[in-house]
Amino acid sequence: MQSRDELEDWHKEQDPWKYEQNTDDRLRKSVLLSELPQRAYKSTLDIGCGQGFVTRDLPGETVLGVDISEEAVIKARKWKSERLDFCQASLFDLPNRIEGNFDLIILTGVLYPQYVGHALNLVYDVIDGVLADNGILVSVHIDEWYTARFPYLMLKEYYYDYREYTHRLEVYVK
Amino acid sequence: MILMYHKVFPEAPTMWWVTVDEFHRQLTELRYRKVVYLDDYDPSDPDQVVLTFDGVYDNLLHYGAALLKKFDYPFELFITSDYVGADNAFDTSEPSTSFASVDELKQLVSMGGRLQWHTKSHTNLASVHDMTVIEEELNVPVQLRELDDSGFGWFAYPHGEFNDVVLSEVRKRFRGAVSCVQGNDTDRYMLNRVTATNQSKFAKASTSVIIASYNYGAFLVEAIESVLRQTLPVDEILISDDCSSDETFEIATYYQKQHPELIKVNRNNTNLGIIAHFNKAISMTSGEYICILGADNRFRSDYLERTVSMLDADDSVGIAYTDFALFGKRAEIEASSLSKNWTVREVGGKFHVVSFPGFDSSARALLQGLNFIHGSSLFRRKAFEQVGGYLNVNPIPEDHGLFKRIIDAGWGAQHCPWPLLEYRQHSREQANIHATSEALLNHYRKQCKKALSERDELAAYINYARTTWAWKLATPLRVAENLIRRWLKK
Repeated sequence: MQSRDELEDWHKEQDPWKYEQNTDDRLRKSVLLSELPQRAYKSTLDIGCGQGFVTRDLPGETVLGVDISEEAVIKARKWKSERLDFCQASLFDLPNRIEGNFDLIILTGVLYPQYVGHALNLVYDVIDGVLADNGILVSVHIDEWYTARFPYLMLKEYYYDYREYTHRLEVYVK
Repeated sequence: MILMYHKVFPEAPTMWWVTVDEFHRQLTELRYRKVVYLDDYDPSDPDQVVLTFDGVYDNLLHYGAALLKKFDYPFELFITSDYVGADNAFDTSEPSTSFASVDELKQLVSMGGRLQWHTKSHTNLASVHDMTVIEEELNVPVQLRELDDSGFGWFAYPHGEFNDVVLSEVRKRFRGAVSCVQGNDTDRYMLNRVTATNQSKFAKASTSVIIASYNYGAFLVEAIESVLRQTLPVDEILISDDCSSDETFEIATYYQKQHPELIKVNRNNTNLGIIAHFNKAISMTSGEYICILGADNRFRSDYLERTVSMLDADDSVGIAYTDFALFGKRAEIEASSLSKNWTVREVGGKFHVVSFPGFDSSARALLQGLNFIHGSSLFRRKAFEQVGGYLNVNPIPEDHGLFKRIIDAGWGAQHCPWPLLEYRQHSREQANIHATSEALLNHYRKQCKKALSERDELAAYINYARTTWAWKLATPLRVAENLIRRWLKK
């Protein structure tokens, strides 16, 4: 697993994965936005928001992006607005760090062994504590590295090419 | 049984660490037992379990405590006072980690942990006879004692070892003590503990899932993935193909090669039809609990976690049945028909969740005419065999017949009130339109990528081979061979 320090170092650079210039990343953002169930979301949570590449375009009366890296969150804050905010928090520490429930939760590129090790069952428990009843959970990951499946009904799954990999997009309803 | 844990973390670098997922599995497997505090522990009761944690490390709070809370288990924390809030730098053979601070210990106590004593410095007391040292090691400082009013009644010998002097002093100060090597299962002052590792298994029974397909290859990948990604891992999967003319067998074989220890494949040479097929498939598995998933359906990922515990909890229960969520083209029509007898609600604009009644005497009577125990319920092999398996008794569908006979034979059933089966509703025509599943397309995408990359590797190797002396030598030899062949023909 990558340490917090390594992730802070990584995020010292602006847009370290070069999302902003990559057409595949622009495409995956449009795919995600277009696959979201059409609802009036009150509160949205983006876990592992990085520097806010996806977060800033998510729907929701309020949108909160969290990332384990303080450096990432500092850079993401340039998108801060009345409806959009960011804070540093580890996924595993979310129950102690944020209050209330969210009716839309997004997880993109988070549930890989390098970030969460073998702790998916704790991830399910943490997410269940912050996802509202009937809330929507969207999980977008590189299929080759992803072994999770949330204990909710799966509304859709969708696969598309992403860089040299395949992205798996899953939409769940609690 | 008293279990001894040290570190719970997303990774397990040595045997003293248990990963969070394995910890979750072990806690799930322990549900049919009674998890108690040491004060309530009766060593002669084989169903009782105590969870103990030595150290205590802060990773227990960060990664283990939430799961202990989920299961509502009490647990014991054996602390060494010199370590509180420190790191394990002294332990050079172990990766670095931190011990819980006073504040963190307080949080663990508030989550059901009970503080117990593991000496001041973790010295091996087997060779210590000096009373001053022994007293210093056994004495619990007041400021720690105040952290837990119910705690510090129990003692854990460092390294599990002690001598008679130590034992006698421990008897004076504590209600009991635990070891791991020098004790036994009866003496309250030297109870042995079992070291829990990633490999420890506490399951009461083994579970087999049969994925049955007759020309449902288009949906098979989704069904298999839903079984492979269960929150409680399954012990055995049999993918059984009733002589399909589609890609069922090819996909089944692919998955069998990926998981040779877990997945078995059966292909019938002729189409046996549901009853003979299911009976044959069950005879090819060995789990004490069995369920059959139609290849066009999917389990929610907590299906096994929730149903297995119901059979574990009561040996007289033969069947654990769940609610289900209809989806697909005909879901609405089917839901409207089912709503005459059961509660149906729409979820997420796609699913129609059908809720069934709990199993009481009126439900037992109801089952004579109506079926509410769906075909993918988890049942006990013993009950299945007792009533002779699936039988061909028209006009009752095979699953209704089986479950009715199991109940009539005196077995109980338990209702699991969650929609744990995603139940596809389609017409035959729709089922046979291939490649309607995103998961299936992705399955072929992966195969295609692999084949292309193998082709590229081969091409690179041939290019390399062309540059070697062997190839260069082979070329004139081939020319000579051709000349000789031509000459021989003549």
